[in-house]
Amino acid sequence: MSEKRLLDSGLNDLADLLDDMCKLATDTVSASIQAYLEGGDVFIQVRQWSDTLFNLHTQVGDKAIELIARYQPVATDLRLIKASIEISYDLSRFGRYAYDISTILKKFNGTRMRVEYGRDVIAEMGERTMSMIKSSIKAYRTKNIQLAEKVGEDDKEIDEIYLNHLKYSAENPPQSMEQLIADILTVRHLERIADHAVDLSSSVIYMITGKPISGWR
Amino acid sequence: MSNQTRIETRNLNLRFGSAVVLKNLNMSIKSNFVTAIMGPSGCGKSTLIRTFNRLNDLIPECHIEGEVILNGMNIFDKKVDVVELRKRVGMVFQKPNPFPKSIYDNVAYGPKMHGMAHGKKLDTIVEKSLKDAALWAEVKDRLRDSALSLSGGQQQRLCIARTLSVQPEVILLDEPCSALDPAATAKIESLMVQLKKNYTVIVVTHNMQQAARVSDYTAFLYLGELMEYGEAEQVFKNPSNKLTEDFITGRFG
Repeated sequence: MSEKRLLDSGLNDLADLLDDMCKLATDTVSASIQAYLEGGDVFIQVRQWSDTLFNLHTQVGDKAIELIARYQPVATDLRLIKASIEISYDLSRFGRYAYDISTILKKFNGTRMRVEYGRDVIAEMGERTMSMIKSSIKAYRTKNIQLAEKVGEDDKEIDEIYLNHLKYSAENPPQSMEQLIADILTVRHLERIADHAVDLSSSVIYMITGKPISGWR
Repeated sequence: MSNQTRIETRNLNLRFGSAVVLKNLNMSIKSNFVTAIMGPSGCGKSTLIRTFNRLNDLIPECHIEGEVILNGMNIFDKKVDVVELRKRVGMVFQKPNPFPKSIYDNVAYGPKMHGMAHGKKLDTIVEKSLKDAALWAEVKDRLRDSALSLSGGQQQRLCIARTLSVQPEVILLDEPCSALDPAATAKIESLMVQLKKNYTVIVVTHNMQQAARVSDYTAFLYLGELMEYGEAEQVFKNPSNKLTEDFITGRFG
């Protein structure tokens, strides 16, 4: 009944682009968190990967427009294309925030300082954020609604850790202002990465069910 | 826009001899909206709309059960004047079919036959019908020219004007753009959307994108059954029936 349609080849191209982005986004965020916690010169590498992610996001948009113009897709096809555009944006934002974290690291390496303040919190947020990224990507690849919904739940915990840490930092600031700035910016970037994992997951749910999710986070 | 039902089918069954074409159709078509009927070839789309003005009566082997209610009146009632019914429910066909007469006479034909007007009043009806069909500006200086001298797209709009001239309530269009180029198609599509202000428009189309562009409500027929019927946006974004999904995404049909 369902022989291959002309549109299918274009949808496969879109899926391939997103596959590349998923892997690269995961590596990029992981590298920046690891370098922040354990040291390492990843700034140039992370910047390059972040740029690549942005370029791939542009390619996804171009491909999506081409498919819409040529095939006028509807229903699941149209939702998949819309979700692909949004997911590629979230993946490119993962790269951008990873780049921002590595920029902080570069700044402190430049002054030969090691960021000790808040390390445990950043380690925990980093681990949880990476887990959310992987879950959201897995939800996309396997079209798993339950997994996508769980990412939304996980984000509540990230938000709580983030807000508690801000309160703690305001009440117990370190002596070094640079340490404080590095810490606050990094937890903020991790919190935003988690938000994009939620957005990615909500796109997955929209793609599968056709029901838009608003106010999820 | 009103929420009034213009046409309603109740347990409508139709067969040609032993070939069952429509199966127990129940649908309600709202006034002043464009309703598109789509489905694969042979699913009964054209037969359905030809039922709405009893064109199928002309086919000897046609047997119909159930009811089609037009503004509260069962069109199969013995008291119904079929000529009057076809005046109220006009039809435009796949291929433009103007009479081999002048542009003016094509549009004036219906009102004259029904004794609706003559003289200046007839002129007024012709002008209004041609304006409503978005053709007046192109033909106002050549009304006595042969209708056959018009382009295909103009001929189709002339046929629409001819339908409008007897002031119908419902306009049925059976694949009205299938013989037209993209520019002429765009004009007819735009016209369909304008016409719904004053008429109830029902269009049969094979073209999914056309149904998506012009219709407010979309019905999907398959093997004579109504598989899905709802707001066009919903049907094209998130159909509830798997068969509809497979059809509109080109997986069969």
